[in-house]
Amino acid sequence: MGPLVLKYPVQKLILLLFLALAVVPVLNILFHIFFTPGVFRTTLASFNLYTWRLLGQSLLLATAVALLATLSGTALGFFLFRSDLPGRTLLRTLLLIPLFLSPYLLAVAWKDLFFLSTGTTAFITSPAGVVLVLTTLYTPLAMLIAGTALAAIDISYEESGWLLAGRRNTLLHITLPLIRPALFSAFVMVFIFTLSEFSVPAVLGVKVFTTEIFTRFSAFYDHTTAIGQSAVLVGICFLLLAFEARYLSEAPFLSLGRRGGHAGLYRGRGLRRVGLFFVLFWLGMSVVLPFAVLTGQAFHGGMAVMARALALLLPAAPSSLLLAAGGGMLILITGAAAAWRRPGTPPSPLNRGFDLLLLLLFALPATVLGIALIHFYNRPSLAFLYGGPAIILVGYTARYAFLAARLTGNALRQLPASFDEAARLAAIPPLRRLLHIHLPLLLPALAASFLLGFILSLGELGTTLMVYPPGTTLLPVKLYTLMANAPQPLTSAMTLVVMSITFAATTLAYLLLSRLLKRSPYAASR
Amino acid sequence: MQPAVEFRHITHAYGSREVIHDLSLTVAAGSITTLLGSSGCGKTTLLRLLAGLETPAGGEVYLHGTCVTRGSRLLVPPERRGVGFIFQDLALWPHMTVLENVAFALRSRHDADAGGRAHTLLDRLGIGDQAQKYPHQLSGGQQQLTAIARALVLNPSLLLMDEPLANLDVKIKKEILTLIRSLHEREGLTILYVTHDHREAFSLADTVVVMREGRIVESGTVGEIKRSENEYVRSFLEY
Repeated sequence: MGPLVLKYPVQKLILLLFLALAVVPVLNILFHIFFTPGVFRTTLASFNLYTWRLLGQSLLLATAVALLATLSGTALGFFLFRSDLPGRTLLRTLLLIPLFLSPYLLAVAWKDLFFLSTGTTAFITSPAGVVLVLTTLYTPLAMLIAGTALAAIDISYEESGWLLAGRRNTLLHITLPLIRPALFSAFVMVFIFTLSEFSVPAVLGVKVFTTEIFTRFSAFYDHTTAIGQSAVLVGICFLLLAFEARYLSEAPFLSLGRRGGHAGLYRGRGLRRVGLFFVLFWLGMSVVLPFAVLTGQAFHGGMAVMARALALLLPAAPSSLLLAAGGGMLILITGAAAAWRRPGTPPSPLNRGFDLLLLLLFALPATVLGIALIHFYNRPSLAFLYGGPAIILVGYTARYAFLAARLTGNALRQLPASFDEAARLAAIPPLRRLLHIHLPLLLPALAASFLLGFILSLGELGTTLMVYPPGTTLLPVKLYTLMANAPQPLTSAMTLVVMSITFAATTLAYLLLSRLLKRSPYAASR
Repeated sequence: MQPAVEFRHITHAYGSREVIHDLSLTVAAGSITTLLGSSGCGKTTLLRLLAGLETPAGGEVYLHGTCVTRGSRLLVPPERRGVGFIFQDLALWPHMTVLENVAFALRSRHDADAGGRAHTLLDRLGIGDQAQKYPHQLSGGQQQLTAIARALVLNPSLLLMDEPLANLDVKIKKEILTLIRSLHEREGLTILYVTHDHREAFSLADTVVVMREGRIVESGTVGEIKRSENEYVRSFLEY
């Protein structure tokens, strides 16, 4: 066994580095508010009627989006995980598309849609418009959470209900109560994401609490107030997570090839019809229509507009892709280190502690994280980090390492302890066990972690916008700054260019990883 | 003759639930001993304690006269105990072929003829022609034989088997039991075999140990157990 520090020293080193680089800045900001004389008082004084109204508006928007997304996500989850709908695997995948795009791209697409169909953007640039866009954005997440919970229900619970009370009663009184914790989790998660979301309200020009913090910080250079207001959001997120930490931290919906669960399918022609109508309607509304309109608008100004969009954005592509790849790798390494334990064993206190820390950073509003990083790193002694792309990589890792930790943790949980025990009894050394037994079996989860980290880093705007050093040009930042003064066709064309680059890079990364997986020993075992 | 295994006053708990209570047991070298009892009586825990995969709360474990575990201290780690273990789920590494599964331990010891030796063993067990297949491509019986080959490849003096035949049909079960018997006779192996099926236990064992709730209820030869007056043993054998 040996002392705690000597066991898995590389893991401890990675986690220590992460603590120092990403967690300490967030703790530092809280320390600054509560222990620097006058800051707490200034923060309190900054809360006038206008600020309270913005906070209230943010909370209302978050409640509405969480409610709508949970309801529609549960319905979609039911049809796509528990009914015999034809093509449900493909439909599930298509519906997840919005989750993999940067939210502001979706906002531009919706703006285009309303402009084209009504001739005005009045509705979409109102709080109701933000609710609409964010509901379409987060419904797939709620679908994933509710659907996974539905799929994990043991069929025998429901079969006994069907025999005694019929399918409708079983659905209402057995199935739904059984997935209540998942529904609550979906609500909390969407609520936190909406409350933290900066880019959609910013693109749609709707003032909310996160845009106010950004304005205070970037336009008025009122750092003290911005930091104080950030603390309020941090407090709300912490409070909500305290209720839900256990379930969200387990995040069973973040698994590959999940075991267990013998859920049966609800069948029937009527159900299939209703299901197909609802799913296709949602797919059309949330994916097909906005992107079709965006494409139409992008080409509306002719090829010259598209050429201009390409000329403006292509120079930023290489650095964006490179940083996103670096981010994906760091996210994978940090997440895997946080989740690592001997396969088949329950999470250690270290795993659980980091799970919670990563979840908190994941839920932290991107702008708040940005402010925390600037506040901590903006000093001469740390200029080597603050003045270069390293600060952006710290931001990416802090934001998304939770996802990699969950994917790896859930994959580790599925490896039977006996795989490792059999190797230990055969006197196979730890490094050889890691390289020849554990890593090949974890490869799909590690590849998925990298891919997810890469995609999300490529589209990250909230933190990047705050911390990017002068001279660094990145796609999301460039698009965001250009679109403020660009005519609508050029904005659409630029959005389409960013989407295409994201799609092409993701497809390429996916193909490369699939090839790697096919050549790996893991593929042979399937 | 020195016993192969000795448990002295072993106690073990999972959290606050004590699963082994002051248990002592001696296993003769070169014997086949079956631990018989219903689910949750502590049979598997006893095997895991012997292999060093778990540590007891109290007591001592001896292997061939050497104390390998004292209280919660592992004096000899699992990899140096020289035991073969066949897990209930077999634990065949799914990404390795049958040959790789068996040869892996030898290759880790830089054995230049790892493949050849593993192949010879597979041939002896009658599955040499399956060497290039993956575990999921095998029948239940073939998977079982692969697990046996993997456990035997380092020539252990003690083989621990945790309900290895639980999911096999009667015919295959019979064939594998015969094979285990012949391996035992040929190699002089000491085998500790866990099962909840008394027919399986009786067809294989020299000594049968009946367990209940972490305690030994009765132990003896097959004949002695069959004639036992103990009420629990009698009721257990009725099923």
